[in-house]
Amino acid sequence: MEGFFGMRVTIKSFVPPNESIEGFHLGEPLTMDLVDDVTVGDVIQRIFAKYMKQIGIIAVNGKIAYETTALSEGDRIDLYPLLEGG
Amino acid sequence: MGDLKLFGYNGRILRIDLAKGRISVEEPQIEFYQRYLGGRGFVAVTLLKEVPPGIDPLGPENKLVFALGPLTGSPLPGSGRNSVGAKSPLTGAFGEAEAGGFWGAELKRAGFDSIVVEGNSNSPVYLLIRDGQVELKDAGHLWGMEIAQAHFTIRKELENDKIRTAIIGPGGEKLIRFATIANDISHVAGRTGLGAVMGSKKLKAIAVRGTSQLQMAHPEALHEIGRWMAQNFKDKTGVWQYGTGYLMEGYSLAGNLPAYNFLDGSFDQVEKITAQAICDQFRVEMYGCYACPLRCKKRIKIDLPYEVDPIYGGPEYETLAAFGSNCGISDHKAICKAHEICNRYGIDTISAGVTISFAMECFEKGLLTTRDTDGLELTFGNAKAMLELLKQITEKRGVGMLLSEGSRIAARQIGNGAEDFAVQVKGLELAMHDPRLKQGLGLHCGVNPSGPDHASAIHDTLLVKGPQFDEWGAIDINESIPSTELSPRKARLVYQYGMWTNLTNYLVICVLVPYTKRQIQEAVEAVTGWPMSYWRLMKTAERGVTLAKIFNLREGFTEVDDVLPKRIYSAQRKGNLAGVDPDKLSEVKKLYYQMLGWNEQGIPTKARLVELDIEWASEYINPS
Repeated sequence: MEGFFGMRVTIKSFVPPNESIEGFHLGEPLTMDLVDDVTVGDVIQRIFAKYMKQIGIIAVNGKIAYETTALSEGDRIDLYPLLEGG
Repeated sequence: MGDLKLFGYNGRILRIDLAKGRISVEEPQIEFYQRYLGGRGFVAVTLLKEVPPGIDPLGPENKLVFALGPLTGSPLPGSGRNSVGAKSPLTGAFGEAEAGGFWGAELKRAGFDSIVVEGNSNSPVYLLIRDGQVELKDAGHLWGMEIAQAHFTIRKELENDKIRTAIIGPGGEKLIRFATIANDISHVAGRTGLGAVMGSKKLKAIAVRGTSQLQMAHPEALHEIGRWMAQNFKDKTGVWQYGTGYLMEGYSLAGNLPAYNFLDGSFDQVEKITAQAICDQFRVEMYGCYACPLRCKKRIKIDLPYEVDPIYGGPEYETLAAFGSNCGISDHKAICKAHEICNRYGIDTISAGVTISFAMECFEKGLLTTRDTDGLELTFGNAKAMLELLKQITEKRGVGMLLSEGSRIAARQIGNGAEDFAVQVKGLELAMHDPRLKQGLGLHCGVNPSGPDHASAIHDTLLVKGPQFDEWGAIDINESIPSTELSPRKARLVYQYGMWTNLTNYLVICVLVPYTKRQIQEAVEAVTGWPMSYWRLMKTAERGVTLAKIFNLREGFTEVDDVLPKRIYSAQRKGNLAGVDPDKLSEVKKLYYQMLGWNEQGIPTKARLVELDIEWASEYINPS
């Protein structure tokens, strides 16, 4: 990671991204590099804005989080859709 | 049927009197189909008109009704299902369940829209239907067989591996009150104990083979919807990857994952029991149902320490939670084994799991001891004890004999406050969705005539974040409402959204196929040729709900029975969810009744019966 000044996080989303992302599969973790000072909302706006209304639950490191939650190096973001039956 | 041509149906209902060995066919008027559409509608009309009040659900006067819908057997994904109903031996109320697979489509192609089974046979029989030809056959050699063994024996003796079967296992034969009926081994009509009704009639199986093509009014329009679904389903749902249970970690975060007999709504070891965890380690393949590209059912195989036979499929979400988190168990192999035992013997995984979690809480609180359990340490999290108890239930031995009656009867027998731990409504155990999070679902669980059925329930969490108004607005739902809110506008949501959700049981299509409302409307029009509106579809569902309600009123159920288990009125042990407020529930329930045109006691008014064009049903309401 020489020369990289951001942070690395893992995203696992059951909501599809705006457009195809290489290596992304629904429900499978994907490691991404982000710039510093990023919130969950920033990530959603950038990658999942098109399907924002489908996002029901946000978690960071296994705990409920919000769009305002700030991200740190190594965080795991989980995005779940609005919960149905099953 | 007059001059009008009937599309989407065969126009024939098969009636079997097992006591007399008599087989007959009825051809209802076209109005019957237009008014009730199919599935739960056919079941409700038949039970209300033909089953006398107060009868023993396991006696000869009960009737078992298998019913299809207009779309059944069409090339539409999710259309292979069937509904089945009777007076429930678990609840004493209107009982109904659905199953997927191929059997429903096969019955339609064999020439029938419904089967009414009446009377009890003196000896075991099975029914064989081949392209309109019907015969009763001896099943003495099948009686006692596990489900897969009976299925393959029937196929072998008929020398036809395309035969589809609806079968009971030893659970149904032994009259376990939550016994199931399995289509082709692993597609199960699980709820309300209808397998026991089939067992009481000594009907081991209904074997079907049909080769006719369903006549549709506008087949190309239907094919177009099917093609769209085949091309787009992967963008609309994730269920095809792992089957249900792939969102369990989200459920746990939200407080929707029942744990420790509904004491909690989250489970700290949830990641060990998700559908992904099961699939990653034990999946053999994904498989599916008739005409469906989703293929959302997982088949799993385990060798040690429990041998799990892949022929019985794999656990869905309800099973993963019922035997997992709700019993405090994270041993995913044991959960898979519990699933297999239930499908092998033919008992409901939800009722079995919740009855076992009930027994675990009784044990932990000293209401059951090792003297009652033959030494079993029945603590939460004890996977071996869970499996042993499940075996005892299937064999009706030891404390399993009592628990095979379901948690309501067992709680009454145990006494000393055990009823507080029985998480059931009208005798049917709650499915794996917490009404403290989904309070509209809670209202549905209380008022639904067949008990707390999750498949026809609303799921409040779908509408918490600005619903896709173009989709929901079609049925006049235009606002987002917090899932934990219980209010007049939530009653309206349960009425409007609830009638739409109920509709799937009248059309008998799968809720997991992500159709839009317009596609469903267009599909019914394409098959039947009848002009169809959302209004007409939802009124059909309301008609059936009202008839089922009248069935229950006649059985002596009142508004006092339309409540939630005591457990749900208390806050979750950990987490932030408060208990459902019983006063609010009572107030909202009365509003809901009135929206349905029922009075405050839940008795349908004559005006609404007239409006629904079922005035005939008023004669079945006992004036109180």
